[in-house]
Amino acid sequence: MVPVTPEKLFEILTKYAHSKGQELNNDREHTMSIIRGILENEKRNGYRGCPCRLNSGDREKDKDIICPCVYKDKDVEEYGSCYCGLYVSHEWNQNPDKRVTVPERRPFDKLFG
Amino acid sequence: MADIRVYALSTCPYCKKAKALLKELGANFEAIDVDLLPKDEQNKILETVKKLADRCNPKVNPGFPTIVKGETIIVGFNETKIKELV
Repeated sequence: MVPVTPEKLFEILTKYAHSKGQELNNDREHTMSIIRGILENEKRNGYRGCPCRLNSGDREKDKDIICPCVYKDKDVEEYGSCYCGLYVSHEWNQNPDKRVTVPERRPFDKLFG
Repeated sequence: MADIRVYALSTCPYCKKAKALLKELGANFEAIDVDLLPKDEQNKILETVKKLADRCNPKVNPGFPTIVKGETIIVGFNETKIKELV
């Protein structure tokens, strides 16, 4: 299988975000950095784990943080952005001054499984 | 010895931003990319990162980057707090 390029994944995720009423972060450099991190995790572990969290290498254990993670919608709803700053609301993209650091929602115990 | 320690992930854009900002500010810091360490070392560092997050007021869930200077701990990327720290 030919690995997907970061640019292709950007296109796919843009469409996915729009289908959910969300957007990708309009800071292209940040967004591409996340996408490259996702693809690096896929290369290492065989699944597209969140690049902002420590991946265990065990797909089952990390199923909650396979991007898009199960915490994304709650974080976009509450903070305007997912934990990584990949998926965001339209308002978040338009208002840089209103952004806050998104706290980790994933329970710490999950890291040790 | 570095004044500031950064616990980071090599894949994480906010960790990269934190390291770049510290460099730009001329801070004396050392960074550890936890995901690149062997598993047993990762687990030891996770315990450390958890203890640091517990010391935050209010207490927070541990995450990356975690930045420590003396008694000051910052969990997550926060430009203002990093500038204050340096």
